[in-house]
Amino acid sequence: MTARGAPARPRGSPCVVLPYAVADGARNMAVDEAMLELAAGGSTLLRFYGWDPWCLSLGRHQEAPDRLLGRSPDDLRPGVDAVRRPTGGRSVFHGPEITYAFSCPARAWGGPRAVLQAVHRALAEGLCALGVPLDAVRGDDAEASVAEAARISAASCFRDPAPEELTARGRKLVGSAQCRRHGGLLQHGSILLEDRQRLGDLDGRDVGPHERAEAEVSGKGPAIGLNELLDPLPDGRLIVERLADHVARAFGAPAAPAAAPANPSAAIATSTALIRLATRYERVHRSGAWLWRR
Amino acid sequence: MSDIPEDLRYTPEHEYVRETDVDGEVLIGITDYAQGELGDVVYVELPAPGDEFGQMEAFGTVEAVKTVSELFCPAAGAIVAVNDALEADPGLVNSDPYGEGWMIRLELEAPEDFNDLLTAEQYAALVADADEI
Repeated sequence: MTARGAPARPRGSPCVVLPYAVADGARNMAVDEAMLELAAGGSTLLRFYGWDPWCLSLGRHQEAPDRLLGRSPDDLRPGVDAVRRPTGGRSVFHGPEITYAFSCPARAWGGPRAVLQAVHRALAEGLCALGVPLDAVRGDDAEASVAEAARISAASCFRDPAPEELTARGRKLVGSAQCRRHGGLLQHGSILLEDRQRLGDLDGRDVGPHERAEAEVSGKGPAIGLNELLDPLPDGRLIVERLADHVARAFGAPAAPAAAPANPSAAIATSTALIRLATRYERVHRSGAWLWRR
Repeated sequence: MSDIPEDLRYTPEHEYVRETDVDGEVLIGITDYAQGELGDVVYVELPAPGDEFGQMEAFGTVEAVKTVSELFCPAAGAIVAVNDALEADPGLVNSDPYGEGWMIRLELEAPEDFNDLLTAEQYAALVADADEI
């Protein structure tokens, strides 16, 4: 603890950036849970990843539609996987996107709200450096929208921006969710490359009545991808490197791209521990009992 | 400034424990400080009566603004009852954490465990430390 009036705030260990990886939904969630477990032990970790096959993720407490309960993920849509996240919020369709996961001791960087703000601020800096015209960040003052975004429903996460989430041209670009367990904090989120979130609505509607009318006129939904904001869209590796660099530096790491961590030995050691832990969580995430628990 | 009633006991994970009129049975919920940190609670996942938990074993979860937090059993025991009202109105955790926002009624495996929990004074010191971070 810091003595009252001391200039420095206690901080967690410097962020270790893990290599970019592509995996299926169960594996991705298992690795994120392993990151949460390591965070409870004191680590601050960041990784970016992709999804193969594309995947629908449900929020921890989100109800799956009756038509899907107990069925194979393949029944959802051919070739599309399904998982349930350990974090809150609503469904997300993980297609053309860059996904990030950040974990740290729950109090080391100021607590969940401070981490949410700091990660999004760093992502915003990285996106702005790439030329993305982001909107001003919304605070807690947008009460009606906050309540709608917090409500657990069948709607896609990207239908409503929550406080601190990143939007461009009034549409949601980055959505995130968190989980706290045994003193660790996990935050993961999606940075859309293309808007395919209509596929993530569990109620079969792409948008609400008002937004539907707007979409019919404009052809645009409530979400937006980087492909509509950057022309040409930079290579994915460049985007990951820029974002990883900004987030890692915000959490105490020296500047370094994700593809070449500043501390390779720490990243390798952490990756080895993650693989071991993730195997245990993967069994849970591949089970129908977890996926269709609600 | 969060409310920390003198007559309750607490855990470092921000659960409170209230004695009931039945020996060895306690009511458990999350503190005023915890609900303030969480923000608007939108869902509370609770166990079933009869379920048994060890000390600091997770007995449920609470979700607020897309953040899921686990709830920890302050002492070993068996669930006697859960607060079903939270299913329809999880906001009771915010509006009345020490009253209608209680979560579980637990029969302690060892009633003396109650005395090992943090006092209000100790918990207030813990919260003050946390706020300095």
